[in-house]
Amino acid sequence: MTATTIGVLLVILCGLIEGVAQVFFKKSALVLDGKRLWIGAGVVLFIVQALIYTGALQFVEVSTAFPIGNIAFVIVAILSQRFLNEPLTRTRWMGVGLIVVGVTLLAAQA
Amino acid sequence: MAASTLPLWLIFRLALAIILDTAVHILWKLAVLQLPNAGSLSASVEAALRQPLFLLVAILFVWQLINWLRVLESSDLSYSHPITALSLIAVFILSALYLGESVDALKVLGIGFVFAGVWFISRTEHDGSARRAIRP
Repeated sequence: MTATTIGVLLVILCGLIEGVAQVFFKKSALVLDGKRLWIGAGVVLFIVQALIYTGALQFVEVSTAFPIGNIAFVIVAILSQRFLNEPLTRTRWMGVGLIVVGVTLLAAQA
Repeated sequence: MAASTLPLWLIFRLALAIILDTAVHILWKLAVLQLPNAGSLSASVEAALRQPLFLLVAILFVWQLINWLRVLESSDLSYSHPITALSLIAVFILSALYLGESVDALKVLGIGFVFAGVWFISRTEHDGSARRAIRP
C-alpha cells in the first residue's frame, strides 16, 4: 500500500468520523436528557478527526484531501435516515451519488 | 432567500466563511509540511503542539464556527451551504499557486462532482431545526 493510498484512506476515515460526530450533535438537539454526553462525544470525535486529518495531510495534497473529506455529507445522509428518521429524498440521493463519483475520481487521481 | 434582498452584513459573513474555510485548510497543510519527521504518534502530537501554525489553525477554526452559526441564524442552510462550498475551489486554486500542488483534469472533474453533490444535498427540503446543524 502506497503512502498516498494510506493518506486517502485516512481522509475517508475522517469523513466517516465527522459524519458520526454530526449525527451526535443533531442527537444532542433532539434529546431532553444527556445533551452534554452527545455533545461531548461529538467534540471528542472532532478532536480525533483533526489528529487523523493532520496525519493524512502528510501523505496527500490538501486540494485532494479537502474535497474527499466531503464524504462526510454521504455519511450524514445515510446515518440521519437510519438513526434520526430523516427522509432521504431523490434530490439528496443525487447529491450523495455525485459526491461518491467525485471522491472516487479524486482518489483515483491522488 | 433571494440574492437581491441579502443584507450587506450577511454577504460579508458568507465571504468571511469562504475565506476562513480556505485559510484553515491551506494553513493546516503548511503546518503539516513544517512538522519534523517525529517517528512516533506521541512525538508527532508533541511537535504539532509546539508549532504556532497549528494554534493559528485552531483559532481560525473556532472563528469559522462562530461565524457560521451567525450565518445560520439568519439564512437557510440550503442557501448558505452551497455558497460556502466555493472554498473547495478557492483551496484548489491557492494550493496550486502557493503550495505547488498538482492541477489536472481528473482533479478538477472530481472537485466539480463533489461541489455539485454538496449543492444537491443542500437544496433538499428541510425543517427549521436543521438550521442548527454544526458544519463550519
